[in-house]
Parts: sequence; C-alpha cells; structure tokens
Amino acid sequence: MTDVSPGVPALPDGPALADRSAGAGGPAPADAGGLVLGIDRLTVAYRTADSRRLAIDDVSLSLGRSEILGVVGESGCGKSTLGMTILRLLPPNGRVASGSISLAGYGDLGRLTAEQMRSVRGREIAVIFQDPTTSLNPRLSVGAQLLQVQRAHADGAGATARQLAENAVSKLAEVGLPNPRHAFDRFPHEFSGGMRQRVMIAMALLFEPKMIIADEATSALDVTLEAQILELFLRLRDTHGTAFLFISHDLGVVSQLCDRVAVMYAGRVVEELPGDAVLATPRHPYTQALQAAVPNRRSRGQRLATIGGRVPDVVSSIDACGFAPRCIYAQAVCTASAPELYPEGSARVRCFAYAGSARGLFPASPVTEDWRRRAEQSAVAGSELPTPDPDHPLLQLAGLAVHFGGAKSRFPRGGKPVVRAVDGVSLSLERGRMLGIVGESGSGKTTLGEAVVKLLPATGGTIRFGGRDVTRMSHRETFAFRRRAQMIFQNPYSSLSPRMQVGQQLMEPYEIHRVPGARRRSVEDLLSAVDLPAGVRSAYPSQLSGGQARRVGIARALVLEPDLVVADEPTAGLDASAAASTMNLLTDLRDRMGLTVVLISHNLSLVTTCADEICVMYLGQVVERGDTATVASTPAHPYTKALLALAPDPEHSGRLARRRLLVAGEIPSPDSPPPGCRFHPRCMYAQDVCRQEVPPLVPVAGGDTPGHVAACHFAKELQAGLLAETAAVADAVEPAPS
Amino acid sequence: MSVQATQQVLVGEAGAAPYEPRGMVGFARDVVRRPAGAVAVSLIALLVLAAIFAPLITPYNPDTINVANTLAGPSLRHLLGTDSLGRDNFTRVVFGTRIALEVALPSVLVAFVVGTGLGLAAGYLGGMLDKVLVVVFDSLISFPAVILGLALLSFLGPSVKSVVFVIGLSLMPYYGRLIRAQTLSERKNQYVKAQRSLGASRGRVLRKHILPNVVPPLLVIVSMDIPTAIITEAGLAFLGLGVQPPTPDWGVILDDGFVNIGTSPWEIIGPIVALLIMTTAFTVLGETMRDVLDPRQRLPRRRLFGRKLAALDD
Repeated sequence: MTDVSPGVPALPDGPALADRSAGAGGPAPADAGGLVLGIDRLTVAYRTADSRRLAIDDVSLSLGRSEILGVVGESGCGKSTLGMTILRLLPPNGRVASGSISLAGYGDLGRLTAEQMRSVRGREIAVIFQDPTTSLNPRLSVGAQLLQVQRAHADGAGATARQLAENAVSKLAEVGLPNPRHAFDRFPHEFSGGMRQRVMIAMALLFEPKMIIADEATSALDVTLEAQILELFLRLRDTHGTAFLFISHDLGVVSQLCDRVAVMYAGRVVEELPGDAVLATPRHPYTQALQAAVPNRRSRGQRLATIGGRVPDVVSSIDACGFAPRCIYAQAVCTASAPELYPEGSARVRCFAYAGSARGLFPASPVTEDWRRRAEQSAVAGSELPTPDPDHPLLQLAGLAVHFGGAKSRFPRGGKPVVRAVDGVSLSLERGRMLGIVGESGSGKTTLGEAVVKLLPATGGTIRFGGRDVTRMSHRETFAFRRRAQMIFQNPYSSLSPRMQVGQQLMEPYEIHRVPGARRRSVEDLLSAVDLPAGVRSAYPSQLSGGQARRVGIARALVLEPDLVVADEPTAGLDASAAASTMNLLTDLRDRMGLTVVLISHNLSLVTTCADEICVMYLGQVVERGDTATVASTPAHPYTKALLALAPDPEHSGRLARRRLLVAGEIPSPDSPPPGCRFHPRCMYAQDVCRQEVPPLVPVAGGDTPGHVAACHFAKELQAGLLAETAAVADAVEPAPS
Repeated sequence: MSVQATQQVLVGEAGAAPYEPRGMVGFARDVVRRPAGAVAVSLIALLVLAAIFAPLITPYNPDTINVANTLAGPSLRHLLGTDSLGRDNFTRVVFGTRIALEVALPSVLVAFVVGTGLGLAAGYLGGMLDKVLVVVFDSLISFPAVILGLALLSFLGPSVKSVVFVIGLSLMPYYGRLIRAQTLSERKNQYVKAQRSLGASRGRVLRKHILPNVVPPLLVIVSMDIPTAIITEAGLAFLGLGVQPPTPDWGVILDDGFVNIGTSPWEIIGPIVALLIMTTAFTVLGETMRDVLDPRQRLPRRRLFGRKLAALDD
C-alpha cells in the first residue's frame, strides 16, 4: 500500500480545481516567528480486516520556524503515519481518532475543506519521499513536472509561463543541480539517484513552503550523497527559514542533522531530546538500545546489541510502557501503569527510571553500555578453528575483470560502451576470515561478489578457490564448486522463491546435490542455526518479516556447509536491531565454524566493526586494502578517509554543519572512468599528477602493517596529515547529467 | 509503510507459528467463501451435473423425432416446447451441455498446456527460439478465431475433434505470450539467481520455481476463456462448420430455432439462457480467483470513482 503516497507533493488535480482553490486559498500567511506546526494529543488508528490498530497514540509535538525536528524509531512505530497525517493523506483505512494538528496561519488542519487542504499541500507543507525514482513521472521532463506543480496552485494565475519556468530553474540551481537550464529539459531517467532526489527537493521548494516533511529522504542514498543532501537541508533552513520534519530510522543521521529529535516507539513518543544528545546522552532504554545496535567506529570487534522481540501491534492505548516487554530494565511498575514524559536535563523521557517517585525502583540509571554488555555475554565461545594459513589462501583474485557490453553493432553508433564494473582486482583471503568490501553504489562491489561465486563470468584475470581456477572450471567442477561457495543476496524477499514454503526451500540444496537422507540436517536444525523458530518452516516468504527473510536466506546459503559465503549488503532494509542480530549471526558463524565470509556493504562502520580485513573499492578498482584496525586508524587513501569521516561517531556527535564535506559530487559512470587516478575529480587533495598518472596499488610504508596497500600518490603524506586541501573541489564539480 | 505493517503477518520471535499456508485447498476455500465465488461454483457444478446426468433429468431422447408434435409451445410435458422435428427443446439443451463442456474444457486445456510450455521456453531460453515463437504467436493472433476456424474446418472437416483443435489453436498464442512475458519478468528476480548459485539446472529452475509463479495468474484467464471457447464452438456450429446436426448442440439448436423464430421463439430461449449461465458463472469465477490471488484487492473498498479522491481527505 505504499503506492497510496502521491508521486508528487500536491499532485495537480486539474485546472478547474486549482482555480477554485484560489478563491478558497485561505487566511493570511503564517505569523512571523514562533511555531509552524503544532501536534496536539494526536491519535491515529488503522482499520484492518478484523481489527483496529493504533499507529499513533497520543502524540504531541511542535515544530518551530527554521527548526529541524527528527523522528526516529523502528519500522511500525508510526513515523511515516505521522507525516501522512499532517498532510491528510492517510490511506482510506486510516483515521484521526482524536487530537489535532495546527499549522501557523491556518489553524486546525482537520477543519479545512479538501480544497483548502490541497492548497496547503505543496504550498505550505511539502514532502520528499525516499524513492525519487517512483516519485517522478518518467514520461515528463523535469521542467514540465515543476511547471505542472506550480500551475496546480493559484500562483500560476498571475505569472507567465516564462516566470514559472524561471522560478523552477532558480530552484533547480538552489538545490545544486550543475546546469539547471539544461536540467529543466531533461527526463528523470537521465539523472542519477542523488540528482533525482535533488529534483524532488527543488519541487518541494517551488512555493518556499513553511515546512518540508522528509520521509526517509536520504535512506536510499550512499553516505557521500546523504551527507550532501543533509548539507543542502541545513542550507535551505538557513536561507529560507524552512522547518523540517525529518523522518528516519537512522539514529546517526538524525543526530547529525536535527535540532530536536523525537524517538517514537509503538505509536508513542518515548523520548524528546536535542539532536546533539542523541548519541551522546540518550536516556530512554529504547534510544539506548537503538544506539547500541548501530555499529560505530568504537564498536570494532564487539558484538552489536539486539533488542529481543519486536514492535507490538497496538490495538488500543495500553496502560503500561509499550517497551517494557523488550526492556532489560523493566520493573513491575512498567507494566502496571503508563509512564509520562518526565523532564531529565535537556530531554523529556517516557520512562519510570526518570520519574521522581519511581526512580528508586531501578537499580541504576539506564545506560547504552548495558545493552552492549548483554550482547557480549550472549557471544558463543569459539571452538577449534582452522588456523589461518597465509601460504594457501582460500580465495585469491588476480587481476579480476568483469566487463559488460561492448558488443559490436551492425549499425553505426549502435554499440554500447564497455562498462568496466570490475577492472583489475587482486586480493587474497584466508580461511576463517571476514573480508569487508566497501564502496559507494557503482563501485563494483556486487559484481565482484557475483563473479567470485561464478554467477557472472569473469572477462579477465583469475579467481583461485582452494587452488582451483574458478574461471576455467568445467560444468561438473562448477557444480561441485557451488557446494563450497554460496551467496547471500541483497534482497531477502526476492531471493526466496515466493510460492514455496520455507522448509521446502531449505531442502532444495540437498535435492539439487542429491545429498542422501542420512547426511541431511533437519529443517528445524537448519532454522535453529539461524535462531528462527521451527514454525517458520511452513511460512511463505511474504509472511516473514525482513529480518526473518534475511535469516532464511542465510540458512539456505549454509545448508550445504560451504567454505565461503559472499554476503551482499546483509543488513540492507533492516531495522537497527534486526541488522545487528544478522551481523552477530555472521560473525558467530565465522568464529564458531570457521566460515570464510566476503561481506559487501556500503556501510563502513559496519565493516570496521565486523570484518578482519577491509577492501575499499572505487569504480571497479581497489583503492585501499588491509587489516581492519590499520585501515580504520590510519587510512592511506582520501576516499577511505572520507568514508570514515562520514560515519557517525558518538564522541564527536556534532552537527553536520561543523564538519567538512569530504567527498563532493557523485561516482562517475564506469563506462568512462576519469584518466589518471579515478578518484581525482572528487578528491580534495588532487594535484596535477593525480590527473595524469594512475597511482599503483602499493604497500603503504610503515613495515609493521604488512598487507596494507593503497593506490594514492600521496598515501604517506595523507597518513602523516601533511596534505593541503586543494581548492579545486567544490560543490560545482558534480558531473553534469549526460 | 504503516499500512504495509497492518497487512504483513508478523510473528513473535518465540511464539507459535500462526502461518497459514495456502495451498490449492486453501485457495479453493478462499474462492468459495466469497459470495460471488460460491454462486459461480454452484452454477458450474449445476451445469456439470446436468451434463453427467442428462438422461436422468429428462424422460426424452434428444434425437427422437415426433412429427405429430412439431413446434409446440411450452407445456408441462415439454417445458420449452418442441422443435420443427418434434424433439423436446429442453432435453436438447440439457444434452447440449455435454457438447459444450466436451469442446470447451479440452480446447482450453490444450491451449493452456501448449501455450504454457512454449511461453516458458521462449521466455526462459530466449535467443532464436524466442524470436521464432513470438512470430508464430503473433501470426496466429492476427487471424480472428472464426476466420481461422472457417479456414481450418473446411480443410479438416467438421467434427468435435477438429473443433477442439481449432479453438485450442486460436487460444494458445494468448497463453504463450502471457507466460512468456511473465517468465521474462520472473527470470529477473533474485530467486532465480539464488537457485543457480545453488547449482540448480535450468529445467529444475523452470519446473520448480518459475512455473508455480507464472501459472496461478493464468487460472483467471483459463476460467474466463471457457465461455469464449463455448461461444466460439456454438458460433461455428451456428455457421454449420462445427458440430453437425442432429447432435444436440447449443449452436445447432440456435441455428435451427432461428429459422422458426417467428412462429416458435421457444426454441432459442433454452440455449441462450444456458450460454448466459455458463458464461457468467465462469467469468465470475475467474474474477473471484483474481481477487483472491491479488492481495491488494483485499483492502476494504468503500468508495467508487471520483469519490475515492475525496476519501483521501476524510
């Protein structure tokens, strides 16, 4: 039902309606200062086939002028519903049960007529969704869509088409599109994901709305682009005084951007605190648990904390703390009555541990460390493991290349350019180790992973697996190889056969390889190895939660007891707690069974926490490789350094504005990599030599860190902190849409 | 997101499993539980029973000529009167159900099986085979079914078998094209890649994974095509190219009754009503199956047309 969301904020309803809304345009514009939006004791319920479900339970929030209010929580906590309720775009089965939302200058939004509400949407409150691809109409040029939105509102009446177009172009320029006039005539597919999201922001800005609702607006973007978009939000806030309601599942991002943050759990606000305090001093056990579940640069080698259980379906307002069943501090009082928001320092916390009267019932104030400690206790002791044997690595790549396209065409200009997805990668991995491969999307990580398990043919170089060259295997050898090397796919749902029960899916590998019954493990056994209850066996994939589907995918990859597993973004799309338990599972398998893992992720914090070795890829090539501790502490490539700097850090939880934007622009297309160092157009240290000479991947000096290699002309200087930033890199270097 | 959550069946980590596997039995139950589905299934059951027990339902033989009592009006002895040869109209309509089903079911089955096979091959194997099959499908579709029938039947000679063949052939390319398109889109899913990474052969992936995903949506079309087949069959018979008189076929009866429509309109009422029931029942069944198969249709639908927009505001 996500498709209820209209593609464009304030979708034009046709000229007739727009004209009428001109008359009903509403009262005077907003008052100068103070509050933009006030939410007062809002309760929203969904009616389902046989029951009712509270999505928002008595929520009061306020949003001031030029304020950025973050809303965080796991999925199912009511965050998105909040945004849709403000816009009055709830699906037909959703309804405001009580409470009100008031917008400065309009009063209670619930009292406006449908037409007045339409003029509020887009003009006063704009919205930016997660997926810019489906939010834009692929058939219309960007400019046409921007004009359409303007015409839908009455402003179009007095203005000429020229003025409207000028306004649209100025907004496109404002959001940082390199060539706004050019971009105006382009179509959505001609832009990259990051640029499309900028177009969406430009669309939201057309009427300079009082507030913008950003619903997971940066979740689909790479960290580098995310940082750029967050920067843009801050700039817009400063120049226009726009207020933002920033909805996100990512505690780190919220702490970097927001002035204030509301943490939601099961429809209630459980904590309201300043953005700076989110990672520094979270007070509510739920906020702390979320924090402990997110990897950061200090969690290296630790297990990530998980929260047992799941977000409950709230049928009616319960007289208890909703988090109590999952809370490690829960006392009798927590289930006996409902806590209120108690002030604590600069925050307000809905937890009895902070209530004056009940405080004594709790042994000590909740701290994030408790969740981490609990996670460490649940770790499994390693048994006899294969000793790493540097001379006989399990996996060895030499000059691996995977190129696509390039086929000659009978027609002139008909051939496609060669896409060099993976272009000369060499590395080796010992048994029982976890190698993390990091990079932005488009860096060739997934292609590399699929080539390793022979799902894609290598076009050059060799892949040696246990001494055998995978690229030259016969049909029969490949079949045997499939038992020993498995892949965990990125999308847990689509990688499971949709009309086959889980139990049957787990038996498929045995059937394919004709494993005799005596040597098979039972479905229950396989499920319990990934901490799933036996009952899951009869479920179809669509009945599973994201975390469960992921676990089934892992279980299936392990059925044949492979030596190597390639895990492609194993935490993508999971809530913090589910992501943490998935990663704990993978590290346990490594520690307990000596499984060799190739972990592919764009999340450097995750990789530095779990992996033994790191390999940073950029445009199909390795730019830095080495031991995790070494790479994380002394990065020798500017790209690695930038990725590390973008990861949220609890001890420097500052606002984004105070940090340097280390990587500008976007990753170029792999069919025409830049000459010289491929990273130079985005590198803040780039010099002339970088533009001309390809830096070799050479050992980084230092002797004590063998195997640490980097491809940068100035690796040594970078590590020593001697490099001066060149002025060449600015926002403007973003590549023009081709 | 929140709406999704309300639809998703989630389970507690440790709780008992409330999963409700919905195999063929569950699917059938879901269909019958809907009022429309129940009505459609009962009507179809009625027609099938009528076809099986035709001799027990009426005391007459459909072919017995009674020259003394031609073109009689309805009476208690002859519910729908008699035709120009004095045969009981009602009896002939009831026996006609047999021919209708005898032709419709096998022809749709043939179209379905052959179309599915060719469509799967075209979609999954691709290459030259795909190109050739697409041309074949498109060429067959470009002939109207009746024209194709006229051409082939004049060549094959009219008989139940050739009618089955002709109708099957005219429906087959639609199935082929649909299955091909579905296979192409299924093939892109990661589960196909996942199976390959486990070492599964192409045939196994097709049989165990792609086939179960492309066929269910087609059941809807199968159900809706049965009336098409019946009407085509009756049409061909009406034109004198299908089943031949004196076989009690709805098309034959219509043809015969048409001549006497001025004096005795009773003769055509029987086949018309029978065709109506049969067509409606199978179409409604198809629509119900579609509703059950498509989870999006399970949401409460209260408002229609323009009012739906207003509903977003309320």
